[in-house]
Amino acid sequence: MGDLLSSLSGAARSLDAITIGLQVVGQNVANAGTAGYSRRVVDYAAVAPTGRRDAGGGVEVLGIRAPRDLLVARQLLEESPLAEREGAVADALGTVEVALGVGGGQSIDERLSAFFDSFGRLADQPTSAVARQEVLTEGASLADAFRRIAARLDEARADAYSGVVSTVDEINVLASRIAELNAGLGAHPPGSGGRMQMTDQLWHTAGELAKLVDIRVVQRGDGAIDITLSDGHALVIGENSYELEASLDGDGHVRLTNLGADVTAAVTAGRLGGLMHVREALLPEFQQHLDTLAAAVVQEVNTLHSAGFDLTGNPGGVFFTPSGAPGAAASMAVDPTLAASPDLVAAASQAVAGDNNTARAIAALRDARVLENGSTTLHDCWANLVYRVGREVDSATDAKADRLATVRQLETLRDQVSGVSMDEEAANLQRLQRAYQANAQFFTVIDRTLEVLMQMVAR
Amino acid sequence: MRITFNSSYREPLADLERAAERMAVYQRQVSSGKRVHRPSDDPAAAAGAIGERAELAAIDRYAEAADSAEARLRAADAVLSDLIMQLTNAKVAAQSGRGSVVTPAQREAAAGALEAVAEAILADIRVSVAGSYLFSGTASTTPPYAKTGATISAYQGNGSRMAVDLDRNESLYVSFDARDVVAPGGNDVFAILEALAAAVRAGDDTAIQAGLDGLDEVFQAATKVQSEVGNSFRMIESQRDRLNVLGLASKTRLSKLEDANMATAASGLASSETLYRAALAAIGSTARLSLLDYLK
Repeated sequence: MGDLLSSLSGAARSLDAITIGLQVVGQNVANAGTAGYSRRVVDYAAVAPTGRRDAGGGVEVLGIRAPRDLLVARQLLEESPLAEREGAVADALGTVEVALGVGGGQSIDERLSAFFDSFGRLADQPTSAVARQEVLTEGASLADAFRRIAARLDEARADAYSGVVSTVDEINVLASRIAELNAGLGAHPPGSGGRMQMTDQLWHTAGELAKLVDIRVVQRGDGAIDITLSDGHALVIGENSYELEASLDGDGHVRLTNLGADVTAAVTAGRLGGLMHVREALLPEFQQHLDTLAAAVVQEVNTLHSAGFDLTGNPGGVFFTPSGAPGAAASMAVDPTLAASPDLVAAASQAVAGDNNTARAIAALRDARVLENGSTTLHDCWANLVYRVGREVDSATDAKADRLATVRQLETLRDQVSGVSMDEEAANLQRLQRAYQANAQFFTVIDRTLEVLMQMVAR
Repeated sequence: MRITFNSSYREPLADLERAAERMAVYQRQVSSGKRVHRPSDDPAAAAGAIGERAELAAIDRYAEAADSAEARLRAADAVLSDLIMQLTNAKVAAQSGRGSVVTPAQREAAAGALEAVAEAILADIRVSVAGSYLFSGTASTTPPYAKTGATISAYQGNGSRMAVDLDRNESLYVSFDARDVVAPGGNDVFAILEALAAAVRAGDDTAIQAGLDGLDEVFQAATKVQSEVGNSFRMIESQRDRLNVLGLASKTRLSKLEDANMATAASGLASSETLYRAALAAIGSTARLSLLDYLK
C-alpha cells in the first residue's frame, strides 16, 4: 500500500511539474512579441528512486531559465550604434539637401545665372534704366538666396543641437533606469522569475542605450552590468549612474561632459554620435563652403564694380556688402546706397555713359575660374557643395541600410537562442497536455487500485 | 535553425519596406519624369546638372545678346544704306550743277539738293536704338553731331566702340565712330556738302570736283563700314547656329543626367508593384501558418 501511496504522490508531483511547464508555455506565448523578452525554458528531472525496489518519484522541476547568447548580445550593442549614427546623419542632412533647392540644388546656381544675365543685358544697353534696375533686383535676389540657405544651415545646426540635448536627456534616463535595475537584481534570488524579468529589462535597456551612444558593457558576477563610454568614462557603475551633460562652449561648439571630464571625443556613434558629426563637422564644412562661394562672388563683383564708372561718370563703389568670408553668405546684401540709385551701377570702364566694359567683365564672371587657385568657377563651387551634401546623405542612407541588415541578422541569431517560437511552444503545449493526460490517467488508475484495496480491507 | 515569432516578421518587414521604397521611387519618376529630385538621388548627376543648367543659361544669354546686337546692326545697316543713297544723290546733284550751260536757278536747285542731303545724312547719323546713339562711339547718350541754326557741330562722340559678347571668346562691335563713316579724311561730310553747295552756287568746277572727290571718299568709307556690318550679320548667324548646336547638346546631357528613362521607370514601377504585392502576400500567408491552428 505504501508503494501505491508513493506512486500517487509521485503522480501528483508530476502533474504539478507539468502544470509549471504549461504556465511557462503560456508566459512565452503571451510575451512572444515583447521587446527584450527571453523565452523561458523549464528544466525537468526524474525524481530518483529511494531504494532498489523503487522505480522513482516521477518528475520534478529543477528550475526555469532564460537562455541568452551574451556574445551575440554584445555584438548587437556594438553594431546598433553604428546603424543609428548613419540614420541620424541621413535624417539631419535630409532637411539640408531639401534646402539646397528643388530638383537637386536649383537655387544659388539659378540666381547666379540670372545675376550674370542681368549684367549681360546691361552690357547690351548700358544706359538703360530698366537694365540697371534689373541688375540691382537680381543682385538682391542672389544675396537673398545666399542668406536663405545660410539661415537653413544655421537652423539645421540649431536643430542638431536640440537633438543632442534631448538625446543626452534620454541617455541619462536610460542610464538611471539601468542603475535601478542593477540595484533591483539583488532583491531577487538567482533563477527566480523576477530576476529573469529584470535581466531581460536590463539588457533590453542597454540595447536602447546603445542606439543612442556607443557604449562598452561589462557584466558583473551578480548579473548586474556596468556601462562606460568608449573611452572608459562611466555612465553606470553598479547601482549608480553618472550623467552626461551637453553644453556650448565659447565658440559655439558642443561639449559633452561626464563627471566634469570632457568626453566629446569619445562619442562617435549612436544617434548622439551622428548628430554631433552633423553639427560639429558636416554643417560647419558646408557653411564654410557656402561662405567661400559668397565671399568670392562679393569680392569678384566688388573688385570689378569699384574699378568701373557709373552712369554719371563717377567711380563705382562696392556692389555687395560685406566683403569678409566668415558669415559672408548670411549677411550678403546689395550695398544700400547703390540699391537706392540704379544710376550708381557701374557698367563702364571709363567715365563715359555708353561704355559697357565693366558690365561685360562682370557678366563674364559666370565662366571665370576664380576659386581654388583659379581652377573652379562659381557654378562649379556650388555644384561641389550640392555634391558633398548629396553624397553624405546617400552614403549615410546606404551605410544605415547595410548596418541595419547586420543588426537584423544579429537579432535573428539572438532570437535563435532567446526568441519565442510559436511552433515550438505549440509542440510543447501538445506534449505537456499529453503528459498531463497520461499522468492524470495514471493517478486515476492508482487511485482506483487503492480504492479496491481499501474495500478489501474494509470487508 | 529555430524560426522565432519575431524573426519570422523581421526580415519580411524589412523586405516589404524596401519594396515600398523602390515602388515610391519609380512612382515619383513616372509622375514627374525626373530621376533626380534631391541631390542624394544621384549626387554626381545633381552636380553635373548644375553645370549643364549654367551652360544653358549662358547659351540663352548669348543668344539674347545676338538678338540685341542684330537689332542694333540692322538699324546701322539701314542708316548706312540710306547714307550711301544720299551720297549718290549728292553726287548727282553736284554733277547737275556743274558746267557752263547750267543756269543760276539750276545751280541753286542743285545747291538746295545738296543741303537737303546734308540734312538727311545728319538725321541718319543721329539714329538711336533704345535711346542709345549708334554712331557716337561709346558716348551713346550724346548725338554724334548737333545742329545749331544752320551750323552742324564737330563730332561729339568718342573714338571707342561698344562691343557685345556673342560667346566666351567672341564679340562684335555694335556702335560706331561716325567719323569712320562720314569723315574718313578729316573733313566731315557736312563740311564737304556745305563747300560743295557753295561751289555749285559759285559755278566753281574745281571746288565741285574737290567736293565730289570728298564725297567719293565718304562713299568708300560708308561702304566699308556697311561691309563690316554685313560681316557682323554673318558672324551672328554663324554664332546662332553654333549656339543652337551647343544648346541642343547641353539639353541632351542635362536630360540624360536628370530625366527618368520612362520605359525603365514604368517597367520598374510594374515590377516593384508586383514585388510589393508578393511580399505582402508572403507575410500574410506566413503569419497565418502556425502549429497552434492544428491543436484541438
